[in-house]
Amino acid sequence: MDSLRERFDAVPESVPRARHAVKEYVRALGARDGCLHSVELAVTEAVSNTARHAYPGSIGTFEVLARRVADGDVEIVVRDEGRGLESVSGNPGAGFGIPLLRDAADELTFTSEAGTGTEVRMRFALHRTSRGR
Amino acid sequence: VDLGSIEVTSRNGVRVVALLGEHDLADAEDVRAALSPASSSALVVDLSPATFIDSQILNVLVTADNDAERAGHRLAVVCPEGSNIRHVLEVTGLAQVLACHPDLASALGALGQGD
Repeated sequence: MDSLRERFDAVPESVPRARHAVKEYVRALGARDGCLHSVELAVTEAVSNTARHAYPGSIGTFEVLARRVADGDVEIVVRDEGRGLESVSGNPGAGFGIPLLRDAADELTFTSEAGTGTEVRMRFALHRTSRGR
Repeated sequence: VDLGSIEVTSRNGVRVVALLGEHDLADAEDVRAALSPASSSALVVDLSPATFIDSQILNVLVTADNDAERAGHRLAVVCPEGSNIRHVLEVTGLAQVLACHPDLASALGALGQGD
């Protein structure tokens, strides 16, 4: 499979589904254990954030993309069309989630503007054996 | 999707809540409910059978720890060194905040309820 592209409802039940989908894709690429747990954790935190904050009062969706890129890395993108990151601050949970995301991903980029959604772009070395950075 | 489960048992009067498998936003409220009863003065959260926890479960643990302290109760966490779960506790600094033990026997011993 060259790449993974899957859309989910932005609800709590989608968090383990998205995590498992990405984990199986990355495992098939030959990811080591350290990379696998980092991917699971980072995808979970990104997706969980979307499920909790992106669509207050309504049900939206988010998309997860994963693909192998150069240098033996995998790039994973979690993207929604919700209200954007700005409104997330101050909510319980943000305290632990972002540090875990930053520790897990080798590279991490947030792109977000109020009203246009959020994109979390992450990159992981497939052959990494250690958890975190 | 194969999710985790929660087992609640009692050991020498101590409520032991074991998290098996994977836990995240999808079942955080179930974990919160399992940890919240104020009836037991000593509580062990056994994370040794857990294979995955996220920041939502960490929030539940911190709340339970704060609630226990306020009520004059005691809470101990079982979390083996070197595990994925331990890594999550260490990255967030909670390994130093929560009373972490390598196994259930030492957690019960620390609560004065060992065999």
